[in-house]
Amino acid sequence: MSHMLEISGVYAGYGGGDILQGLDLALEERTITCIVGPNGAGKSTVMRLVSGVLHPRLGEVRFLGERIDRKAPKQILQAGIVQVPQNRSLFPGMSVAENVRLGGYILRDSALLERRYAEVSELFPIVRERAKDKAGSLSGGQQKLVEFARSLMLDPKLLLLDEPSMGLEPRILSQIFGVMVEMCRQGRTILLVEQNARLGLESSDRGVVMESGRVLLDGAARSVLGDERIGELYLGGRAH
Amino acid sequence: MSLVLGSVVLGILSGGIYALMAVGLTLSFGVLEVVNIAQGMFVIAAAYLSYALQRYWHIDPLLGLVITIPVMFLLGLVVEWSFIRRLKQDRVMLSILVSWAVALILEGVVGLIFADDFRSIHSWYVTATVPVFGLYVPDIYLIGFALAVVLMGLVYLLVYRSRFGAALRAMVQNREAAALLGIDVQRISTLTFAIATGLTAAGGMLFGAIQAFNADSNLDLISRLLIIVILGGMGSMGGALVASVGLLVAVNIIAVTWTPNWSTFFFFGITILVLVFRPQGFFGAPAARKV
Ligand SMILES: Nc1ncnc2c1ncn2[C@@H]1O[C@H](COP(=O)(O)OP(=O)(O)OP(=O)(O)O)[C@@H](O)[C@H]1O
Ligand SMILES: [Mg+2]
Repeated sequence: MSHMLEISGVYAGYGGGDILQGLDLALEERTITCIVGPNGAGKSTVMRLVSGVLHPRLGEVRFLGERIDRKAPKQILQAGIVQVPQNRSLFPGMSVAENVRLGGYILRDSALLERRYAEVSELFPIVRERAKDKAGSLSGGQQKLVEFARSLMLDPKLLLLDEPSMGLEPRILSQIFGVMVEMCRQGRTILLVEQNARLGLESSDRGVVMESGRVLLDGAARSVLGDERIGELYLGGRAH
Repeated sequence: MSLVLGSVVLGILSGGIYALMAVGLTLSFGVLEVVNIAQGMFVIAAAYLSYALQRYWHIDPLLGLVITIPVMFLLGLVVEWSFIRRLKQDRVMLSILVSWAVALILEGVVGLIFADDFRSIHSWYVTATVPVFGLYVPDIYLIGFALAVVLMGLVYLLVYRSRFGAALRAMVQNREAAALLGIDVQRISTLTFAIATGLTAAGGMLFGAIQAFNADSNLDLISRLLIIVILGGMGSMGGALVASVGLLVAVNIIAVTWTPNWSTFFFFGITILVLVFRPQGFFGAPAARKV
């Protein structure tokens, strides 16, 4: 009952049939949970559901015991949940500083905004070094770090990271995942979606396998990684 | 020679005024992907509003802006709420049809009230002139240019220096990412359209003061505004300003050195050339929106 996030019996879609078909998922506080699954399984749809961009047709989502499945994205942010979406989400024509400050768009207190900005640029030196540069001029890995920095502007309790490794060079992936583990160590809970299942599961505490809008397998990341069926399905092609 | 210089000055001044009338068009396109054919009719409706305030309540047209800007802003809210936000896909194409319908409705209403006699807005600063290189330039052109500079400067500050503007630019660059940051994209769209419409209050007052108009004038006007916006690169405010001043200077030079009849022809001749050879305009990348 002490779950931070609890999704139970959720059916949701985009108007043409349910993409999520009776999804159950619960997250422990201060852990990293990694969702893996084939393309189109509905992984990003889970993220949209939790972010309030999408509302369930049936079922409920609870955050710290409170129903959030009817809330607007802004209220979800206020509750302490921030998503870093799948595709590049920086505004390429705006400066790095402007991008990061927009992470605190809903903050009304400008002193707080500036304090958070200082903290975040302390944590992510790239923000300070490239503050005036257009976000679009940064490399893919740098952009991902700035996206992480931006997501911390609201000091969230729960971070939703949708395929952070997407389109990045292999050699910087360990840095990206290292930052993620560090963010968890600082007390944040993380829900990660990862195509690169091995890499994702290796940095996580729990693993969840999704298929066709349902949870197929749910357990310790290690055991999911070691599960034969899963190895065949999702890890085989990508194993190094 | 001095006549040419005078017409360059007049061209710059009226170019600023036309840019003010076009800025709403470029803003709506850049932010909402809406080609607002009703922009010309909004300007004319605003001109009638200033005319009526002066004629029936003796309110000075410039002072009257305090009333006409909010009224046009409200009209923008109503039009966005009742038509524009219903367009969920194919906005560019559908908005042309829908806003044309809005223009026709408004034209009908205005025609009912004022019939089709030509009207014009009078004031001492419309008739008073200052000599500029041998041309007598009505004060209204100087006032209009100053007003255009101030209002466009305010729009610039709003878009590039305010929290609202940051949200607006973010939304233009990545709608979904903006929504995830808690930016209410619908609200930004509505306000942008209303601001664009509110600005026509000033454009309309100036238009009605520099020339006689009736409801039909909106057709000729929207053609000119579209040319300015296309030439400036759809969605670019700076581009629209440069295009507007450039075009009006050329038109005025042709009018004094040759004949005023040819200058109108020139305006539309340019359009055809631009549409054939450079449909993306001179300041916009092909099919790119810039705000
Ligand atoms: N905005 C949308 N409108 C309609 N259908 C959508 C939308 N977004 C996703 N879908 C559909 O929902 C299903 C699940 O999509 P989702 O993005 O959740 O998958 P995913 O597991 O994240 O896949 P991937 O690994 O490719 O990111 C897909 O069939 C997709 O076509
Ligand atoms: Mg996805």
